[in-house]
Amino acid sequence: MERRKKGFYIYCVAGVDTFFEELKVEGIGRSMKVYPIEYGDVCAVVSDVDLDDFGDTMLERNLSDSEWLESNLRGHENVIEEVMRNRAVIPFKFGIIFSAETRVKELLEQNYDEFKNLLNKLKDKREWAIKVYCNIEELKRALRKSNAKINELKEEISKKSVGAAYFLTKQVEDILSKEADQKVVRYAEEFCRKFREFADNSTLSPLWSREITGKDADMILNATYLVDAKKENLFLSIFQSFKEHVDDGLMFECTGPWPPYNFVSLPVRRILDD
Amino acid sequence: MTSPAQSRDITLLELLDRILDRGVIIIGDVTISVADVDLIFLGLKLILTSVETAERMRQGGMEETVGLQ
Repeated sequence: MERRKKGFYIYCVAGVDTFFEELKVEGIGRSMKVYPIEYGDVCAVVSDVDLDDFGDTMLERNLSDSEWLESNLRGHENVIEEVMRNRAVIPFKFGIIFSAETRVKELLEQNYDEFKNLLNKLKDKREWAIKVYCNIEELKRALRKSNAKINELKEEISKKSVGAAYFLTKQVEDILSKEADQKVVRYAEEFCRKFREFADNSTLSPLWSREITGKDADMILNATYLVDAKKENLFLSIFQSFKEHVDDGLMFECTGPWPPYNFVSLPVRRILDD
Repeated sequence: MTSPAQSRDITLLELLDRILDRGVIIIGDVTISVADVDLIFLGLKLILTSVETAERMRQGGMEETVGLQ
């Protein structure tokens, strides 16, 4: 029988730790054997994968198999979450595979200083995602009640002829739309700034469309924060207070703690680009 | 604030957004292959279908998922 070619799937980089000897977690390809490859006091957390599963033909089939994709994405995440429980991690993206153990060691050796530095910076910090959505219609309803100018116009409309009332109504709608847009921007800025006060770092990502989120509201903020363990409670209490006290058709979502995916830039990219 | 790996739906989308980069990559002595980006989106389409957005995806087409980066 032909021997299958083995690859080393890399999940993350961390400091060397006896913890890994006991590590029991299901990784890629349901592999239960997740282990460290060490270089000095840093290590890459890996498991063996069958390269055939990641070869051109099989990969195409596997990636279009939602079960395969989901279970492997979760396997990837599970391992990193387990490792990050008690230590800093540099999370890698999905699907980075080295063909030999020596290659993994080379990666650690060539980027040793950078890894050490990054692990130091990420110590006791985790990533939290904040997403805010706005139902514009609801916001407009709220504005309709509170805006003085609109109330005046509404008053006028009731006294006008049909034709004049039509134009005034249109004017009201225009004012509302404009105001709603401005309000959304102000809100997004305010939330963004407030959360940042309790974070070490932050990133803004593109807003997802309704087709992606499946919500009846538009995403107005898609932000990620790197939060120190000591400030997590404060950060989350800010989230709770926005969630409970801000109306105007706004919805708040917070997920985490995530590995700091958005706050590492992987040297692997550079290797690939060479 | 559940663990991301435990809850489905939006966090699965977030997971995709975070960890799928530019395809599956094999680094080795001879093999360096970057999977075609379309393949990733093909996978995304299917996985999104499982995230209860099936109807919307069918109406909206796949272009939107490019927004996931």
